[in-house]
Amino acid sequence: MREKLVSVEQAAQIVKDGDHIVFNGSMDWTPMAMLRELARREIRGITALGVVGGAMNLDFLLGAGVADQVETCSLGFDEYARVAPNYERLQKQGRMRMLDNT
Amino acid sequence: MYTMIQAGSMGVPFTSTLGYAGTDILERRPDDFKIIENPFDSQERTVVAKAMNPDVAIFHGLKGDRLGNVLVQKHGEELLLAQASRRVIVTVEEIVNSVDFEDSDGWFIPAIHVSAVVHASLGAHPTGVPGLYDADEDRINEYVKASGTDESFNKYLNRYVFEVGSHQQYLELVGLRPELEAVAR
Repeated sequence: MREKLVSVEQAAQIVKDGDHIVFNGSMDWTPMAMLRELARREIRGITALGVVGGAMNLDFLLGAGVADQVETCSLGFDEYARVAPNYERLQKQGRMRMLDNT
Repeated sequence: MYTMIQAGSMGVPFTSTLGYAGTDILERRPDDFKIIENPFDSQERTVVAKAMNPDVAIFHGLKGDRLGNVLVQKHGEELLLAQASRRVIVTVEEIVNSVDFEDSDGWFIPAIHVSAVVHASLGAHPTGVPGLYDADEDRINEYVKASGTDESFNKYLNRYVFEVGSHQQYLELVGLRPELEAVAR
């Protein structure tokens, strides 16, 4: 059996520029330690998918410039904001692409 | 989208779904959605959507072992996402000798669907993990406030991402120590 336990830094190498990355739809359980590492490594051109829906996962990648496209049915932020805030700013400014998919 | 991921998880090329009928998604994305005749009934037409196999799935879970077996939240979509995706990274609160598929704390994902397991205590912060730690409301509000402009969010990123070299340093910055903060399980 192959050993699969690796560091955050090693796991980040699995992600390549331009990848489509899928996340679950909840605000809780956001894999933030991993997402901060992707930002540190300056991964670019990611399409972030939210199934079902997205929250800080997709919003953080947009805000950090890691993702420039998202595909999901909604992008909320629990009780903290009406809409995921980086998404709202970047979408209004036409700096990203949103694919609506229920 | 759920059924597209479902199709991807099963290794079939597309899914038949009525969810998109009547929407302009069909016109805007002809490469992903089509209307076809039901092969079993020529009187009927249905929407078909291309299967999705994302390059990577990333999520945070409760426990993992060195072989890649993990326990994730109950009632989530994680197993389906893992089955559909080409590579799967799971960060977990703790590494244990062996993750038992009968453990009732969460839902089991076998190692065959997992590429990498990462130990990241408090790895969801500032969001929460129900049963282990609450969301850090002050830090999430700080994030929302910072998101107003490029300048303020870049400042946020500098403070919480670029000026800390690792997850451990991040935890020190926000004043958390895993061994004290994570409640006994």
